[in-house]
Amino acid sequence: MNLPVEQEHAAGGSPLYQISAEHSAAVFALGLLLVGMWLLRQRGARDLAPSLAPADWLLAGLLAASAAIHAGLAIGQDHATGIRLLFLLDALALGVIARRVLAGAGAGRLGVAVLAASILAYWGSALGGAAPDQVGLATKLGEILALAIVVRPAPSRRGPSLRSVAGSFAIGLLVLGTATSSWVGAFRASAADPGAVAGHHVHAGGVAPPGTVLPVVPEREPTAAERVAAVDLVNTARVALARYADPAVAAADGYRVNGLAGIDFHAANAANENDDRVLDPAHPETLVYAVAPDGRPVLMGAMFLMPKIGAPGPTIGGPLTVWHAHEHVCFSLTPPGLAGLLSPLGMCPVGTIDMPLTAEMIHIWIVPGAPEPFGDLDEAWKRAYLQATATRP
Amino acid sequence: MQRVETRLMDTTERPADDFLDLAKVLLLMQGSILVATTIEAVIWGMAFAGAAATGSLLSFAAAAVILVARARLSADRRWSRRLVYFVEAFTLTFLAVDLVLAIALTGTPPPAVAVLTRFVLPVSVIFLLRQSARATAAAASRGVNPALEGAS
Repeated sequence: MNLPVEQEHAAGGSPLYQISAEHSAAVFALGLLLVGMWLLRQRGARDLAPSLAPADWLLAGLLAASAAIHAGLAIGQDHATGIRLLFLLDALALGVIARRVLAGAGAGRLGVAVLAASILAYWGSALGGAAPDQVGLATKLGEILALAIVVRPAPSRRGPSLRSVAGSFAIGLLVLGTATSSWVGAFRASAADPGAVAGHHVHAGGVAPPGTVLPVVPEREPTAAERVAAVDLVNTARVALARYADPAVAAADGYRVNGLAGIDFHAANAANENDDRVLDPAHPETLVYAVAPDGRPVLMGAMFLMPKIGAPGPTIGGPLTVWHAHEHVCFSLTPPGLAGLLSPLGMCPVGTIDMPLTAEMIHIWIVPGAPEPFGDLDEAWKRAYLQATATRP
Repeated sequence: MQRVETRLMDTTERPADDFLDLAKVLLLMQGSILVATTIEAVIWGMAFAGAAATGSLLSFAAAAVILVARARLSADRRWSRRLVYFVEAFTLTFLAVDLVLAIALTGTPPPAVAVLTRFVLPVSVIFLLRQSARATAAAASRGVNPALEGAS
């Protein structure tokens, strides 16, 4: 549904929430199948299997859809020959089983074996670091649903049998395994480009971690002027923010420091978020604190937010000062706060809303020696710095 | 017109158990997704200091309601259907909010999987349960035991 975005800024969202370009052939094949089914129906094909139960109709449809998608992947030129051959075999097997179901013969053990193998192959691919996308996820959920139909117990007036309970448990595990492997795949794929996490940018071919929209930055060194501008920005911020080392001063200026805890506490200022100032070191939208091991709060830096969603931040330091945004962040309303990221299964925690995109933002870390003054501050470095701060008299 | 009538007859004459049978499969799928969502919500709660626990609790409650209602679902149990309708209505309401936000902020609908799990799945469950209830009522008015109707 969400096609790959092509913008100058904030171009690199996670494939987890998009349809990868390499899966276009699969989507096209699915479209052809739907058109074909509609044409058959117009010609009275409904009478071919009039006695099928609704569950069997759905099963045949799911199997045919998965077969079409795998056939599209086999025809597409984006995978190695061996993988394409496996896709083709999967498509043929799923097609044969769909035909059997339409004929009233049921999917049988072959159906269970092929569907389970297809789902497990997806897990293997994702755990191996292949970035999952919406086509893969939708296909796997469809296959799990097909498997749930195949293994469902016959309607009975008696209570649930051990077999039906085991079958339900297995379906639950397959759903959980698909979500887990997809998270792992999405994060592993982004870890392949170190800049995706540390520098808050990706290079050509790299992918962003889930929930983060990173711009694609050409691989070039910053100019001398850009270096000077970046250093000036950090130094100006250090001077301007020094007074907020005391959270009480920050609170008096409107920053929400209540409940200060952890090593990445963001204290927002609602007034500054709405003042239309852009990258003003004296008026950051958010201050970032960490609590040292001795319990002292330490001002680590600040986060600057653009006034509007979609507005690109000024990259005054060229590739050194790259802005990023967040996508599909789940927000709770009761009480207001962050509740996670949109699941590969398409769900935010119940009762929370999915914020599809935030305004662009950039961090400036004012602590001395920060390895990435504008990117992501490495957690191990942060802990070591806080430890050293705590041992200082 | 005639085709529409034929299609209506096709569905209303289905044995109630056929619709219930499929609804139970979809509810198992939905319950499993909600269990996974609950686990994810708990993990996010641990990862983000101060993350709201409401999401984990509500996800767990929704998963429990769906799975218990599925286990107790039968033609003569109205309360289990009503519990399912309540959770589905809650899911659809939040999807509507997300849809408005997505269109307003990005100009695109939510991701395809979200549409499948939060729109197609709940709407299908509601449709099947309503068809099952109608088929049961129709069978009862004809003096047929709905439980035996499919066996004839």
